[in-house]
Amino acid sequence: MAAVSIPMTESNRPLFTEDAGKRDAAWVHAALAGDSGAFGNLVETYQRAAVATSYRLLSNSDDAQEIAQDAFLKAYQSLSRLHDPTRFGPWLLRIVSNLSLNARRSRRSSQSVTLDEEQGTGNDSDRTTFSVGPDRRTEGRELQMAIDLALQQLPEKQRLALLLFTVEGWAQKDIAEVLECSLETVKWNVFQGRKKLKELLGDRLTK
Amino acid sequence: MGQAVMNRQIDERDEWLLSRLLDGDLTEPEGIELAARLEREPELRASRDALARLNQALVARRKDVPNVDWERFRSRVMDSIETQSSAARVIRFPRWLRVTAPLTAAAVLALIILASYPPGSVTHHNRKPGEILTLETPRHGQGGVLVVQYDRPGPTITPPTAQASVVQVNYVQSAELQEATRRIDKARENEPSWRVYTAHGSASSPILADMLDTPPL
Repeated sequence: MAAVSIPMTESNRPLFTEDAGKRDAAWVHAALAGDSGAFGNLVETYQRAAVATSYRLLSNSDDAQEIAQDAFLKAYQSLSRLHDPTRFGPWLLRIVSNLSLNARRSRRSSQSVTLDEEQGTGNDSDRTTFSVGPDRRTEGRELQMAIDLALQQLPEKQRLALLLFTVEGWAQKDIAEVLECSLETVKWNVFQGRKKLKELLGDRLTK
Repeated sequence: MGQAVMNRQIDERDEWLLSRLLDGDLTEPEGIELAARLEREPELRASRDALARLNQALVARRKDVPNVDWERFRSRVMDSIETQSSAARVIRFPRWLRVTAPLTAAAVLALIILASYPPGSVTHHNRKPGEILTLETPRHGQGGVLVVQYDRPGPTITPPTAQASVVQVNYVQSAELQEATRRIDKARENEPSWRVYTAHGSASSPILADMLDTPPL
């Protein structure tokens, strides 16, 4: 088997920089003073991250857009309660994450999926299929489908930390802020997520 | 001579080291030690390769992004905020104010009419006071409609003329309002210039000017 070289991960670009925080704070203050254009700037700045975050958790573009829109609306309604306006970004994405996880939980309440089921060894009546985007053909459709299913079995924090770090390319410090936990906890969750995925995918990763 | 090959079970610490290697988080001594072990432990190499393949597969997902018209998305968000803000701008009166608002409106109307006459003219007329045209008996806890006709002298005294107006007041009956009305009537019963009558109809004193101070129901 050909050796797979380790892609020494480039440091993910920080999303919530000090400059970005100052800029956001100015927009938050202006929005609170009635300047809707200022809130529009915040929407424009974070809309991609908001939709992407939700999309990674829900795997559905329409649902992700709807959740992101709700999150912006909630953020607008609660703007006066944001203690530190420089942290608008993490705060908003925390709202997105929470709404997405809630939507996912309610979706899962009527579904359960395991890799065995996908492989045909489970009970057919419980089988659920997940859609795979058309752009996921680059790394092998079969592996990506298996990863989709394996991801569903990770605990929420592990899945979120792993997806935001590896797929979205966020800095771990930013993830810690959004998830309201320490940097070490994020690292641990990323590690545990990888480890569990490796176990679930088994031989698929050695082919 | 080739290096001795060791087959050692991968434990959690090894996995942790490999994960940190992937992220560039190892200290220098850890990196040196792990590199040496990777050279001689095929199981560890296999585990590293599997981890790398998983990571590559996850990174490949970056290309899978939702197809969104961002300008349209932004407009939709701002529209929803505008809609929500407009709804919030509708003034929500407290319950007691909602109840007394019609009374207040009627009072204002009556006072405007009264105030449009020359000062003093009201006190010189001797026409019969106004009367209640309709009094819908309130149902318990609800209310009814009070229609009062009030008349006043016209702008000229000779020949005597009179003008009549009608005020319709939607009201809610409550013990508090009744008591407030009774007290006002009592206080004003010796003021004949007032010609708008209360729901009781028997008192000759007004209440409308006091509606603004009507207590919460």
